[in-house]
Amino acid sequence: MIRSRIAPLVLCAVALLTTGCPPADGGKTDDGDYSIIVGGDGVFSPDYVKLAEGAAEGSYIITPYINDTSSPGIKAFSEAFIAEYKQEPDAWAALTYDAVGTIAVAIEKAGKPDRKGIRDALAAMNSKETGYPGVTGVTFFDKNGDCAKPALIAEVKGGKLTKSATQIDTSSAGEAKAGGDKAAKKAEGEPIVIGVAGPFTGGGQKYGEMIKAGAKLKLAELNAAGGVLGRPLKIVWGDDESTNSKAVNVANDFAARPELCAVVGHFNSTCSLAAKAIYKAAEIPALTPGSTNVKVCEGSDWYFRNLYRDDFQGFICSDFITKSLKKKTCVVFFDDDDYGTGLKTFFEQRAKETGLEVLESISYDKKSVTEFTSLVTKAKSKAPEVIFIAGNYKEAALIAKACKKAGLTK
Amino acid sequence: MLFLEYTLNGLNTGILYGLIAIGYTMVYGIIQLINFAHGEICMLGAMVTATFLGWAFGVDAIAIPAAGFVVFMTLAALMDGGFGILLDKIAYKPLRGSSRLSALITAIGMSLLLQNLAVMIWGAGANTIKVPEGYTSTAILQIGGRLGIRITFFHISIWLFTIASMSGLYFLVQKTRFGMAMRATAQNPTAASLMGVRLDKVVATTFFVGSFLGAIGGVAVAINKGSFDYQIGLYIGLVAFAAAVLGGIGSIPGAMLGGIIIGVVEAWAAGYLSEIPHPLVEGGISTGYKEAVGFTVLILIILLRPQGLLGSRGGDRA
Amino acid sequence: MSTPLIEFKGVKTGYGQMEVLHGIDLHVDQGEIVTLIGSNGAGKTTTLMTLSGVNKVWEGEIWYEGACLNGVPPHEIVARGICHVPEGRQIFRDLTVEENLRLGAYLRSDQAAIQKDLEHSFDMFPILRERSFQLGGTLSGGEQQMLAIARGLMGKPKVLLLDEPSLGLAPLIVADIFETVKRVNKEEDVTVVLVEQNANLALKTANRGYVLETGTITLSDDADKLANNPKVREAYLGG
Ligand SMILES: Nc1ncnc2c1ncn2[C@@H]1O[C@H](COP(=O)(O)OP(=O)(O)OP(=O)(O)O)[C@@H](O)[C@H]1O
Ligand SMILES: [Mg+2]
Repeated sequence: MIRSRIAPLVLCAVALLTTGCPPADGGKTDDGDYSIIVGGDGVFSPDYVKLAEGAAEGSYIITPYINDTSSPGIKAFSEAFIAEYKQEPDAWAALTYDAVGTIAVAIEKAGKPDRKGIRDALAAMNSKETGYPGVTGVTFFDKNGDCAKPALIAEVKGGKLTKSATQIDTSSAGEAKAGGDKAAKKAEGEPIVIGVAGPFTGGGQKYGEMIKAGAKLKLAELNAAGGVLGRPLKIVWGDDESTNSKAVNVANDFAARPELCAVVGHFNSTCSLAAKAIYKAAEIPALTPGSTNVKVCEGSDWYFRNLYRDDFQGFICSDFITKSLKKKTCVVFFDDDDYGTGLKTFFEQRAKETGLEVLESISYDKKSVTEFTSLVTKAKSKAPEVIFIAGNYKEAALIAKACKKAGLTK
Repeated sequence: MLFLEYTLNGLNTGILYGLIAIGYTMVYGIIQLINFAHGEICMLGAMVTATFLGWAFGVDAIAIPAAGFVVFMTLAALMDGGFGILLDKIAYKPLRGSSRLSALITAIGMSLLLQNLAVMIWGAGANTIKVPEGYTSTAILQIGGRLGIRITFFHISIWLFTIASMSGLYFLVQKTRFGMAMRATAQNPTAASLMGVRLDKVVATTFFVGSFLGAIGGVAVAINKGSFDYQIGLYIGLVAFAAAVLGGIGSIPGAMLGGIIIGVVEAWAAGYLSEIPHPLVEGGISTGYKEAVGFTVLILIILLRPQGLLGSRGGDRA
Repeated sequence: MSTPLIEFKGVKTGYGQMEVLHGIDLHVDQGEIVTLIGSNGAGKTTTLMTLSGVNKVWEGEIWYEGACLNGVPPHEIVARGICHVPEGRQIFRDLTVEENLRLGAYLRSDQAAIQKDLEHSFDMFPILRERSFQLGGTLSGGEQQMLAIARGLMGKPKVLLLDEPSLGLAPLIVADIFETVKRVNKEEDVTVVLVEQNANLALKTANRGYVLETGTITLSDDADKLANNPKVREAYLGG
């Protein structure tokens, strides 16, 4: 009975084998060029390339950091990271690494692990000279708590995220520098406690793993070099699972610990937005290494970030398409959440100013979407030159795959 | 033309929903249990297939031989059929005869348990199923140029499999002695056992067939989507269950019909929702609601026809 | 006397927490027609269901052909030759008449003989032949009852358990059915256990009888003696 149902399947397989696959139509076709995928920084992850299985080749991705080991500052960090975790650091590992370093410097400047003192020390880092020099460039804040860092363009080449030959952003945040003093000293006394919040489980777990890895590496280096104020530094982890309600729980938990003096986090913009008010009320300084939504630092003196905002990112993405790639039409895929809609809005704004035609904006809900075939069919019907993705790497990989299946990309 | 392509897309996902829905409908037909862990059984089928292919051809293989693909997927699906039987023996059989609610709660519990088990074994990250070179991307038939409708080996193979499995099931259920016993059991298990039908065997067969088809469906959904993780069973399970209800739970052709309807409606929604103006948001209604549209259609049809499209009004069961 | 074909030894059973049979002792010899009479809810159906393995024995033992039946599943009991025509028809509504009959012969593999018995059933109940491709559920109540009995006989049983076969049937057909029962009993040596509301008819058909009152056997005797027992006459034969 079972055999009777497998037989057709086997037959089908045999048919497949004997006929073989017809040759793929190579290169250009009657309809012109293949489309190019450009992704926002949510797409920047080695897992984008891995999950897309070849469909990612040739994509361009905006990112605050590329693990470009030709820069000496990055080389040392990258080697230490690979020695510890057997994989390359991504942008979020590097930004968290720097964020923990920034907080440590602020504690030193404040002279004691005092929430208010640390906030003031962070706010005082208001220029390239007074800022924190790290592997992602110099971190310094404007009066809002936002940070002007450059956006880099990565290109997927040979299955790897490499620094693209064409870069668009000319503003420089200074040379990347590896962590400070290497002299081994012993940290003594009561530990100084900071919180690190991120998606350590759930849909954003991959990001969380990188965040944890970056934070742990910096922690180990700091403590090996005599700690902070001569005392060991200790991290309390807060798992927000990429959800607002969990982010609020984490923030309340942090606020309830009197010994905790600062927070690195959260990662997702929506989590930062949800937790912001709690940190403000509890007067805890927070430094996010990943939230780029424009509103994240708005209206709170206690929230900082060490990377660019989505308006800047959106502008860069649009300018990269028009100026570097010299393309005139695109279709946008955007995640329904704060990050995706924010980035898409600024991208479209800039596109309008510079004559880049947005043929269609297609939203998706990462929680429920099962497959992208029909959404890509919709994109395909517009025959765009560029596909811009404002979302996370997981869905971006699926979109890239569906585009390839549809013959939209090569 | 575009409409045709959306419809075709919907048909392609719809038959996969249908294959999975058969597992719900058959089990419900025989023991009146909504096996909420069926989605997870499908997920396990995809996980095991991915694992087998990884072992056989290396985790970094870009393309794999077609014969190997078919052999390992079939092996995994057979194993998954065994998981289905095991699930029944461990979780549901001890509760046979007790209230339906306790069986339902057990099913939900098993669903969560299997998800956690999958996280323990395979982690929470996304997985992919390796496919033969060109399986999903090479067009066998191209209508309307490069950007037109493409039909690939993947499509042809899921159509053939669906036709073969539906006719196989029809033959099994309608034309064989054992199929007659299955139908009898579905209508009146006590009377069937008084005819000498082994309930255990019928139930085990039902779980096996449903899980086998579910595994193939799960693999195909994972390939169609592009990647999958331990949560995939939750969503496809829900949609497939809706398909089973829509088609009339207990009816095998109904499950397939329900699957196709939901798939096609979803695809239309993906294509046309944004063309409906939204009073507040520029750019029309978000295509993120495409699943919601599928479920709305389900509710409407169930309001008009509570027993589902091909379902029969309650039999003589007490 | 040789060992009986079927023997209940202090059998107790029930549903959920409630005990329905409180220790039943009875026996049926090879070739007999034995009837169980009793008022509604006395436990007659329960007794038959326990014999055919659908209800589990709580205490005591049931013996059949020298083997204990406790814990033997229903399909196995059918395989050993006990066919049960359950109360209230219980035919398969969505199967055709012919399929219903074929299910009665589910455990037999002698195709030619099955075909012959099928013809035989149609001869016995000609209306079923006319309706053979109709779904069971579309038959009238009486037709369904005929189908249930014919289906039971399709199993070629050694022992036939009949639970209220006359229910809903016209008197002429009832007479027919009891004739058939007597005939298979005599010609094919089928032992019969008969549960019947129509105690009069039951006692006329049977060799022996038991009276069941709320889960306990209160009387047992030859059928004609029971028919003349004043208590039985008053309670079950309408005075
Ligand atoms: N499935 C069941 N669940 C619970 N109680 C039951 C069940 N079936 C029967 N009973 C109870 O067991 C007792 C005996 O029922 P049974 O059907 O054996 O009676 P009966 O002698 O066949 O009656 P009748 O002549 O009305 O058919 C009754 O009190 C009945 O309510
Ligand atoms: Mg009864």
